Amino acid sequence: MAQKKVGILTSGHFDAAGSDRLVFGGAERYGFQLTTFLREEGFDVEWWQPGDGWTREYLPGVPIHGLPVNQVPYQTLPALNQAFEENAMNVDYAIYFVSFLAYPQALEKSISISHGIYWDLPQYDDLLGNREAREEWRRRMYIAFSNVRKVVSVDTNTIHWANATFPGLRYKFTYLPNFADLALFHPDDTRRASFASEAGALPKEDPVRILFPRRLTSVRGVNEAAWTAVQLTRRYPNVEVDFVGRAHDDRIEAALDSWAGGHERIHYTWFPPQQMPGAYQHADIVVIPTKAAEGTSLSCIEAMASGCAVVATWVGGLSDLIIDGFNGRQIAPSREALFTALCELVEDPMQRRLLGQRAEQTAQAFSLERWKDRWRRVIREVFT
Amino acid sequence: MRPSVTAMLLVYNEADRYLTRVLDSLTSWVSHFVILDDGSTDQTPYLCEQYPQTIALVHNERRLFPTDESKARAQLWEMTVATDPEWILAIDADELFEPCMAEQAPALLDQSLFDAIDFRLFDCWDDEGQYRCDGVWDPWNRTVRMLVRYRADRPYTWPSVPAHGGAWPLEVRQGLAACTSDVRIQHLGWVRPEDRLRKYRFKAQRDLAFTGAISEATQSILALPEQISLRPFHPRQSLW
Repeated sequence: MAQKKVGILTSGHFDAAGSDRLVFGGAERYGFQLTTFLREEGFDVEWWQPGDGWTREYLPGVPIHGLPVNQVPYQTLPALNQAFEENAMNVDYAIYFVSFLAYPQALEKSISISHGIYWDLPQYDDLLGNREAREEWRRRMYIAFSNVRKVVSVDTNTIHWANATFPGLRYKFTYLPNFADLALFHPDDTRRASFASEAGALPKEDPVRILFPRRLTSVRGVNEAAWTAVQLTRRYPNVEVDFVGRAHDDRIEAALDSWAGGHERIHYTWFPPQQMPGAYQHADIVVIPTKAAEGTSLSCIEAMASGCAVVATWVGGLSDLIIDGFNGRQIAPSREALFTALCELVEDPMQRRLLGQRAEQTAQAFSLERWKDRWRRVIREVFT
Repeated sequence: MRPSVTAMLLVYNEADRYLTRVLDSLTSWVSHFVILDDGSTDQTPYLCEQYPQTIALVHNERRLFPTDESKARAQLWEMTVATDPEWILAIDADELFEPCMAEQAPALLDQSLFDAIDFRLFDCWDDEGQYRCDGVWDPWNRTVRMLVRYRADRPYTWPSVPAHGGAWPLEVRQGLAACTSDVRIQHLGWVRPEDRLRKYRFKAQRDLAFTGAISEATQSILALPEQISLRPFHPRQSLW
């Protein structure tokens, strides 16, 4: 029997020109993992996104096509949705990789994914314009959620919002939080020994490494993290701060490289996903200072799985992961809150150890295996 | 088992330049060297032979590169794929990876997400501790494809252009699943003024022969000091 094909529509994995430049945000990595999983389950996978008619590889052996549409009325992409409908004739099932892409129509057997609320960006109010436009956007979101059989939501934050905004849709949503591959992301031997030892045994000696493992964007709190890095390295001679992540613009990477180069204990680099486990293993504290547009951050789960003490804001789905003072620190999205929490952790190695230990235990609930099991259940329900 | 990397190099009179330094730096993460010596008249072939990693070395009696670059590149490619490579590294004899590449290579290559890996090339100028960043020299505006996973089932063709043919067959230049590494490459060939003058002459002659005019990029080699923007090349410290 021929393999069934899953068509996945996204708003943008590559840039519209289809160039090779790729920034590994959580959504991109989610897409790789979902594609790999679907192929393991025996499906053929093909992707579509806005672009000027090109076809290239998404993953080795997996094509992605650029559909030439670019209008974004009311922050939706109905022309892309229509182009997908017309071009995906060989598709058996569809996944709308961002939930609004299922407006105004969806294939009969389809799923959409919410990666978290992104309309909490301050500028979103201006993007939508006036009150009528906001109402129209909300109407379109309702239709998009309604059209698919299931909306997979990576956090409960989105479900709470949808439940309060469109109470009749609550059965559409399946909470399916993000994941960490625990075979890759785990404490190194030194940290594991520290966790296993009697209370009182400290984690490794100086320096204290603080890691910012995010894209270099405003919403991910890069400016707050940079300000805090300067203050911390001034105050504590034993603190080193690592920024690990790409920007969407080469100039920003150049600027950060130059800026970090001028500070002795602040470093900048980035790694492809498969090299990130080492970065977490060598970090004592990981900061997730997100200001908006966050789900159950992969970086946060991976840091927890690696046994790091995590300082995260309460934005988006992060509150599904962190209980303040138990398995990490949950803070307001401000530079002052970030600085204060980090000072406390730098000065208190036992607290770092305790939070990291509990974070690792928490991460077991977000294993890749559990994620696959949950997806398998959704697929069995919808793709039949 | 660590993925195997085969470096392919097109060399010409490299004996008193950077060849041994580059080859030495590769030995920690590259398994094999495939080298096309394009008409050297110095000790270059002898130096290449000294490395146990050198599994193929061909010497062209008559230099091919100046008149037909694509043909020379295709010759090197055919030599390389004949050795049944896993990953292919296209590198020149004056391109030096940061030392951390040896540490990072296994994780970069032992994965199934990407078939190509791109890098930033920093054109060092006057001093290995600084790079040029004005106009076309700016490394932050471009990346260079250096590593490609070889797949025998993929078609490979070469453009029939005599100059600026590129190091790779057309099919792997774009459209592959690719990632960019933050490991940097120092391009040392521009450090010495005498090397720059030699390269300028070579490129200018070739531009004139093929297009009738010297390109802006070639002209920029001899830009006045006030037109050149230099930045320090911050030595990368290992993050741990």
